[in-house]
Amino acid sequence: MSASNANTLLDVDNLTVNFRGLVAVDHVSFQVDAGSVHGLIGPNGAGKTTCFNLISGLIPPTSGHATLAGAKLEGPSWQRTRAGLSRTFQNIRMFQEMTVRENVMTGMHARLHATVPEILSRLGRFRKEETSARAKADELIAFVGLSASADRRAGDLSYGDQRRLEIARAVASDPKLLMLDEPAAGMNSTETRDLVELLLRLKQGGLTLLLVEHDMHFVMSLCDRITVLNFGRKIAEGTPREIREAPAVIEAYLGAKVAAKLKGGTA
Amino acid sequence: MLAQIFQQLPQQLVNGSVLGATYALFALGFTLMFGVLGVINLTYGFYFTTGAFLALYGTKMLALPIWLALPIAALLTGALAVVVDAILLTPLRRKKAPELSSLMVTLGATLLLYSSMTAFFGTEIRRLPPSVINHAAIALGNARINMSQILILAVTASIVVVLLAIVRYTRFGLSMRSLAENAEAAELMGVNTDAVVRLVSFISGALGATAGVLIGLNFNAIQPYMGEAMMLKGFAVIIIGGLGDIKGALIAGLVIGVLEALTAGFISSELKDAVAFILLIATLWYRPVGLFGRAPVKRA
Amino acid sequence: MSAFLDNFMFSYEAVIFAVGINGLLALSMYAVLAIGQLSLGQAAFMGIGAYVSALLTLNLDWPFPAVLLAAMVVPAVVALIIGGPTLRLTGVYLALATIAIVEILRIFLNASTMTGGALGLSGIPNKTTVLLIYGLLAVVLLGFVLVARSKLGRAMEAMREDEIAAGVMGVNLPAMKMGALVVSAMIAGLAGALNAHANSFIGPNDYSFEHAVTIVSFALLGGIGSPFGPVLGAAILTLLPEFLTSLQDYKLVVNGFIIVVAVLYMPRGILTWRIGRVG
Repeated sequence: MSASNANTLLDVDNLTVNFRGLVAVDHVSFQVDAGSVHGLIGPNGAGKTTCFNLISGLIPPTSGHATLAGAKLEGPSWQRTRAGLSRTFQNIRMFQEMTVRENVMTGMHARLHATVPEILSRLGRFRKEETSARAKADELIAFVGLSASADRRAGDLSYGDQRRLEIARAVASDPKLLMLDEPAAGMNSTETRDLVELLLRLKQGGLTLLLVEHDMHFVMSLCDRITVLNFGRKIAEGTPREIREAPAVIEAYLGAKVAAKLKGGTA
Repeated sequence: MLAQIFQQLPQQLVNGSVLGATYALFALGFTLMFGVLGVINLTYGFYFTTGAFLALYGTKMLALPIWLALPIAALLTGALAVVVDAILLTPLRRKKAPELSSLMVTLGATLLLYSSMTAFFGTEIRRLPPSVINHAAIALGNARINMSQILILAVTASIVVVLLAIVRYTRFGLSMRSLAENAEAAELMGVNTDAVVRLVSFISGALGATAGVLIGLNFNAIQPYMGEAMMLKGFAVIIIGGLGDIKGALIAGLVIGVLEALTAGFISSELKDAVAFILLIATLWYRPVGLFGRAPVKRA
Repeated sequence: MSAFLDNFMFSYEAVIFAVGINGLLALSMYAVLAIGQLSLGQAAFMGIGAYVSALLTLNLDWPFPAVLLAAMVVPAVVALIIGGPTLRLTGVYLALATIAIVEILRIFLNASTMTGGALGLSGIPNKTTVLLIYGLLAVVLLGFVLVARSKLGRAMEAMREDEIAAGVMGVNLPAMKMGALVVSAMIAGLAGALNAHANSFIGPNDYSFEHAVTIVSFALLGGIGSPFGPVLGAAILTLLPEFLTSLQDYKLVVNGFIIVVAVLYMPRGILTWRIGRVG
């Protein structure tokens, strides 16, 4: 049934969830290849963010499951982060009171192993670990171009900078798969271009990306493969070129837009 | 021994049901506030006290009959609840502050209100004039029941019916339910959320006051901290019944009342007050969603 | 003259004791507030520590260090029992369940003959010293500073700001919550034991709901940006009524007012400085 192969990193298998009788995600299956950029698109309410929440363990599925590198993803979100999953949020969820550096270091939480006695005594691996964590955080901050703001309060950054910081924070856990929920939302065209460049650098570094995005140009230029959802169901899947030409997508997705345009024209 | 138990049982059941109805009556407004507004409003117990004091003032100073003093006390207290909500909780709602902020602000307000009231009135127990209600009891087989007890049972039953009908069948009920589900979505769909918040606060305050008057009438003991003792029972009732669950509050209230009466009657009156809290802890362990509850969803 | 001096020292010492013990209680509250939870059971944990310690001293004559240890362990066990079910749910449940613990304790203490019922326990030997209280306060404070400047401190602040995001960072939310509640119960129990052995008398009404709320007001007045805030808040609210004696009757009014104002208008308290989270 599942089309996974040796190169599959994330295998989503018949994921389904009901909210009080409404099927928000309906037997959705797709595979994300290691090292690829995979897009998840669809009109508003198609179930994209719900899919993300299911995969990252924020809501429990009614049925179905997902595996990451062959291991079934189970339990609450923090366990899945430890298994190699990381994500950002549609409405940025920054730790606003903390500094930029502290935010990124919080992203490393699952990779730091100092025990409570080591923390209280400042002995054992604590110092070494904390020093290298700080160095790595500063590297990541430089990577996303925020070095000048490392000690600033995260909540004081501009919107675009918070988006970049959120990506740095998500990458800090050394994930196998990075899930980005509308990373370009609210960005101007320069910021979007910078973001594309940043994500391509992450891809070159070997990271696999799964992203939800509305900006079609962004999706088509960045993604290797795309899965299209509508009303909770998968309606198409393929390369950007295939998706652009698929009749089901045009009808469900672009069709709605065209219809709206026509309506607007006659009014 | 057994015969004695059987002889006392009907009376204990009557006492327990009346007690349980008072718990349920009190908890209704509390659980409604949580169900719709999504906050544990700890000032609720104060409305109970306020209602009782207003009825006391009305009957004693103004010589009003109780059937007039009760609704006036309920209306005034409802208005107070709207004001308190506007001062304490509306700003937090605007800021989208975490739910614990609203819990804490009402916690502080509770301490402030009770201690101010005590500074003003003292802690001595006040009594309603004996003439406000006929205290004669009616015999029901082995058990006896008096007018204020019948009043409590009748008022509780009718309020539950009316409340359930409002929630299920009216436009206002629909607005309440959509606000409870998702405030932002409700607003987008054209629900005047501010108005619903005010009306729910008003109804809750009025319910709390009604409970205060009736219980003050039944036990004939009114003092500032009466609301706080009731509040502690109220927590137990709304958690056992399920947070926000009207029917659950009614049943949980009755169960606690009857068990308390039986404990006091047959085991020990000192342990009576522990019943509710032991049930509360047991509920949290075995059925945290309450008797009939759905899972308490975190608002992500 | 000497009697006057003794008298003066006696009341002076009581205030110094109270500032330190309330500082510990404020820190016990901080442990929970710092991760975005609210426990109203601090008064109960304190009471359990006080009674356990007093009974062990009076009946079994245990050495004081062992008594203090027991006064921390028993509340910790109670914290595990209520934390187990409530910490899986939203924060409201912990707050309500801990209020229930305060009430159950009061009912139990009043009913039990072992604890002296409503009369409480008296004749507890004075074993607490100023040095001991402030030494322990310093140790606990240092512990919180060291924890703050580590991955745990970052995880705690992350949880307080956004629990869902903190979970996605890989923070083990249930373990952190349970840890915070247990630590908080232990510190409150310790404070209770120190207080019992400073006052020679304890009664069931010393550990009421009002007391629990007062402990919240210490932490909120001081602010929870760093562990120093709650200690400062406790010192101010303990000393204020001593200097302004007219305030004494309105202590609870003031505490309640402080909580309201702090939540609405001063969410960072009076000590707004925030401790760094990098070790």
